Amino acid sequence: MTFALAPDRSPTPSAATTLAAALNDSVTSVLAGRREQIEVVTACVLAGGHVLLEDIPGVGKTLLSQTVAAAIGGSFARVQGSADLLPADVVGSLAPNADGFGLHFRPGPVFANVVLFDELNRANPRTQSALLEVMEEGRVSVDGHTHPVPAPFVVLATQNPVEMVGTYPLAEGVTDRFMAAISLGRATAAEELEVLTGRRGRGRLAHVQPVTTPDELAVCRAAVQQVHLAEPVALYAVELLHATRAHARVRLGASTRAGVAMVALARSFAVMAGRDHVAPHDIARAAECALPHRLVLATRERGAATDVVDECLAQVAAPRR
Amino acid sequence: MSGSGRRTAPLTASPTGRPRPAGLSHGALSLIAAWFAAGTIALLTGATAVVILLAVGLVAMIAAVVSGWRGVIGTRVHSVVTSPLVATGDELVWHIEATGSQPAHLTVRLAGDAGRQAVAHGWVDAGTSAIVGIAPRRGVYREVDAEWRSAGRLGLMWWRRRCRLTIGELVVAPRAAADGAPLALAADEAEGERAMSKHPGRDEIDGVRSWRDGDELTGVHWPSTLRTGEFVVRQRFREHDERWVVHARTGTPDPTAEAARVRHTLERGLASGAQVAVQVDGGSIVDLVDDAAVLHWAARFDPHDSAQPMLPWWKRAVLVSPEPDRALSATARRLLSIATAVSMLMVLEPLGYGSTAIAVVLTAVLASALVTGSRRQLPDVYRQLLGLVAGVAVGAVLIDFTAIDSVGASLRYLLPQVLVSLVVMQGFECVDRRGARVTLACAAVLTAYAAGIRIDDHLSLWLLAAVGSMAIASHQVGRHRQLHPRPWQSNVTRVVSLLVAAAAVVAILAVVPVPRGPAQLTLPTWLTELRPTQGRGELAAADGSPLLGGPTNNRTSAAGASGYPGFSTTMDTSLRGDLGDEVILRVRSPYPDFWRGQTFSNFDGRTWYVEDGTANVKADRTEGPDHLLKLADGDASLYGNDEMVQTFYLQVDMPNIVFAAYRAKRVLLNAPLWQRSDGALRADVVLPAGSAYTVVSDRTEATPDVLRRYGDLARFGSPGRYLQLPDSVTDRTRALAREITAGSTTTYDAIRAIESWMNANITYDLSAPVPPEGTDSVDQFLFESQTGFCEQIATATAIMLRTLGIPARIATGYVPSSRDKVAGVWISRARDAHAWVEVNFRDLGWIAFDPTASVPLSGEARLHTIGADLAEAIGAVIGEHITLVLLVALGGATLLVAVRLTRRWWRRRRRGRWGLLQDHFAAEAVARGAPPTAANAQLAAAFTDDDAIAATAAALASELDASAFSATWVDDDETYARTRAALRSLRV
Repeated sequence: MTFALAPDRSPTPSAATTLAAALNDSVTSVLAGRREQIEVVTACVLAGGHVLLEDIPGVGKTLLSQTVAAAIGGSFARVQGSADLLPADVVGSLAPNADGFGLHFRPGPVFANVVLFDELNRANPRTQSALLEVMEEGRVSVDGHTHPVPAPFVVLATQNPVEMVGTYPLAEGVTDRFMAAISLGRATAAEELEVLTGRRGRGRLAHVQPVTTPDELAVCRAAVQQVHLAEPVALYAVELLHATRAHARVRLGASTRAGVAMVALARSFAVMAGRDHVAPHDIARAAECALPHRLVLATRERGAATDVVDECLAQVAAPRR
Repeated sequence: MSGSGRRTAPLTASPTGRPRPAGLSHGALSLIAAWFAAGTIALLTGATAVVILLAVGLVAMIAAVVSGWRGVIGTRVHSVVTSPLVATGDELVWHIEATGSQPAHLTVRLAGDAGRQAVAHGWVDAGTSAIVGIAPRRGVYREVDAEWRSAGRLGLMWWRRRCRLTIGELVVAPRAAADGAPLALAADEAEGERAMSKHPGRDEIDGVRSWRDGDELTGVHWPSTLRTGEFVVRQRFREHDERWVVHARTGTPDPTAEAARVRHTLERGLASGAQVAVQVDGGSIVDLVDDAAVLHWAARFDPHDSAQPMLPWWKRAVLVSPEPDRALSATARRLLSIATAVSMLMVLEPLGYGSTAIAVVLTAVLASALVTGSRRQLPDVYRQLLGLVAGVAVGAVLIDFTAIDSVGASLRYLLPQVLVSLVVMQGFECVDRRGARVTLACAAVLTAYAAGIRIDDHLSLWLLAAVGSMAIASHQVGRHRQLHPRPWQSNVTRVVSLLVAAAAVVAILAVVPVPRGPAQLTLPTWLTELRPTQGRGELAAADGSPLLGGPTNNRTSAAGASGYPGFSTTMDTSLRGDLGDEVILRVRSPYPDFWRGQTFSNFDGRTWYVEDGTANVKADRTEGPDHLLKLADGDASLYGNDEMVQTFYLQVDMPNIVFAAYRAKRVLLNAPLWQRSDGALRADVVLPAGSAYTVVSDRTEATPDVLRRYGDLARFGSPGRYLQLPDSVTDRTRALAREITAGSTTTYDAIRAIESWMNANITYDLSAPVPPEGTDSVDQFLFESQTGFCEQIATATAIMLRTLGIPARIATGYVPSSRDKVAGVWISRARDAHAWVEVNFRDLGWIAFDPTASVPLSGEARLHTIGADLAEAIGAVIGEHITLVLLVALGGATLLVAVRLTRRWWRRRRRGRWGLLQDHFAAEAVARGAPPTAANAQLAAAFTDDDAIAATAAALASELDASAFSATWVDDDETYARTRAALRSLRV
């Protein structure tokens, strides 16, 4: 026997839920497989966060960003990280006016709705730091003037974890600005077949139609922020943060900002599942995305942070009725 | 989110080893010793209660063994997870996933190149537990030995179970050599060679890492250092413009130290940003890219470490105790003091100590509990000093030093007092489990002792209290930690196991006979005062006044303190007195028998006379307390083949008559004793209430066959005065005797014939008419009234036998009327005072016959078993109070139901109806293997039977979450009903 809710109690799908589903479908129509990772990206977009994609080249990171931009219907810009990239090349700079008198602000590539910062760890720390303000506050200060970037503003940064020569590992402050860090992973054989035969992949990008407008997205984001977070669930999140701080293998536990990001992400997950409240497993899933890249461990071992978060999740009792 | 960093070893396969005993807990031997001590007490005292205690103890011990076995069987270890790369001495965390109803103690050993090493141990519960161990010696380990132990709830005997599993590789690197050590520096400078020059410019910052030897202070990253409390330095990146090649040598005496030195140098190289490589014995150069590679290399380098010296097996066996911890909880300590106090009360009260002495002892017990149970413990010296002072003080209060006049007496009479002092002293030593169990064992011995000497009717209550408090204390001592709340089924298991244990106790008791010990230890004699009587053992009442008796017609005012006229020098057969229900004697004895007090051989037609002051009766005085008795007139020593010990406890003031079953050969009485040649025994002191003495009798095996063989009618004619007849004996009496016994060829048959004639023709009546003055009372009884009581029946029988030439006499005393089943004592009340006939058989002595009392012949008495006695007693109680029993059963059932309903109601009130659904859902999921701390969605994932069930579970989880965490959720009956139905469908 299958259990079903009473028909009159089914939640009416909200605009945000519909939008999330449409975004997911759009990206899935281009990027083969990896639905879970795509969902995390969508959730970050809905939650107003930025995503760090950690993976080897050629798994579709750029394509993912472009598709997201196309589906949102906003502008898209791309920055390629390199050692000689300067902050001014990213956020913009003052340029002389055409008449030769005075200077005017010439916006950099961050003035777009979706910014793909490719190979962020190849940019030098100065340039990385220049991103801090715009990622956190959505504005750029140059020469005493503040210039807001267009809303919505999503940064998708990539980094290649394997090839470390000539890179500048991201400082804690920078990684903390990213709501989630995910690794796309390889497509399965069947999915690769779809890419090679053209059913998916870059060729499909042109067919992506915007599913929303920036204004509509802003409304949805506001709706996501209104999702109810019950006290016990919030407490669960706090206990998880404490667990990472108390863990034996962790040198530096998750910050409060990590907690804020985790809860925002959990709200998105809840909306995507069509719920009007955050459930504990939303928090758990959000913790898996939002915490590992923020932890500073005693040993630098790949995948260890994920294990630590798993252990914390196993250790902290989830709230139930 | 892959678990690439860890290796798991699934252990779901059934463990290879079968449960084996691991050993006894600390102090368990003392409990076994206590059991044997109690067994000795049972043998020495012959007390039923001690045997009941023994049976309970035996069943408890078996239950403890079974419980540990079940604990081991019931625990399953599903997976063992740990990190694959550590350094020697580092913390190594093991995550153990296990299921089971009781916590088990798990020991993890690693097996590999470097031998077997215990690395971690700790308690595991159901669910995932983390136990922290220390990484073992350097090497690569590929196998894990998991051994788990359990001692169940009582914690007496430990069982273990072992299994071995393969885990891939666990690499244990050596610790880096000590910082600043000359050896390490030498290794650095002398053996490493720097391949290239220094980097010219400043390096780029690459992040942070922990402080390593050789880092410069300028490199410290202060913000991180302040946040973490440990030194954190900037990780600098530089081009690999340096290459350190470190030389390592094999075959050194200590390869681990060599590896540690090399590791130190390599890490310094890495810290300063160089490329590092290692060259073993001048061979090929191996590049090592990072810290992990260095650790892996150091773990594998030159694995020929000298083996650790093995301890000899006996040392290992002694040193490795099966009990992992010894700590004693404060609760257990308090319960223990209660158990001790109960046993002390139980033993001190019958010894006659007043409330002051008992208060002193209880205060000492309380003080020991306070001293050893407090969180802040006294230093050992003070504690032991206190214990000594308390023990001596208790001893001084309890022991009456003036009463000790010989070593033997002190051994016999001081035992309980010394025992109590020692237990008080031991109480101050009770700081861990071993001490607790020793104290418990001491308390058990005290309880057994008390059960051996107590004969009062509250004994069963005392036993219940003692056994209950000791069981609770023992359980609490053996308990190791808080158990998880257990599902309701366990209550059923608990009730069933209790019932099984009770049945086992009864079964044991059903085959164990009533003990028949020599009663050496049971306070064989106890006199509350020593007031000598006058003359050569004249009869004296408890107040010292002489008992003369004499003919009287006053039926109501009978002579003698007990109100029975048979306890004086003369006995008027027409009198019996008004005898009540008061308990007179409590006798501990394996068989019922006639407790004989007096014999009468001289009859004048109405009154029997004890032949005092005649030449026929001699009285010899022995000093005691151990009186050996000589043969009295008519006694025979041929058939003394069964020794029976009786201890008499006087409940009221009595004459100085010493009662005994025939034939007494030894009396333990703490006063001089007069042995009379007519077989009667009299104390030389008064015997007030509370006196006790012990008699050892040789029982002649008298069965009808034996009696027929030895009682040929033709061979009679022995002691003349037992054939004395009064002149008033009428001819019709003689004729009747001949008529009744015509056709009897043996004495026994003649007696039986007279007995059956009496049964058939005489009406037993306490209000029989007093025969008129001047008539022969026997004649009157046999032919006129034909009603009478035991004195008259016995007299008539004796006289008729005498007319036939069979020597007979009258004996008076008590018959046992009932038995206290727990204490195992026979009870005689005032109305059980009795007179019967003793007939002399030449080679057997005096054999008692009585048509009115149903005491079996000594040869026909069979030992009862305690269980049969208990069952009979319980049956009798139930039969008597059937309504009460039914009411109690009904009330109990109602109470049980009420408690269940109240608990359900309370849970429902506390948790709400949705809370109950949640609890059931979680319990169901956990039973299917879900982790107990998981969220609902994860619980739902445990339902994998089929898609429909999985979908139902997921929807159920979501509805439960909504009920808990949604702001808009409203509770409506329809949804509740649907959800409940869904949950039911899952549980099927």
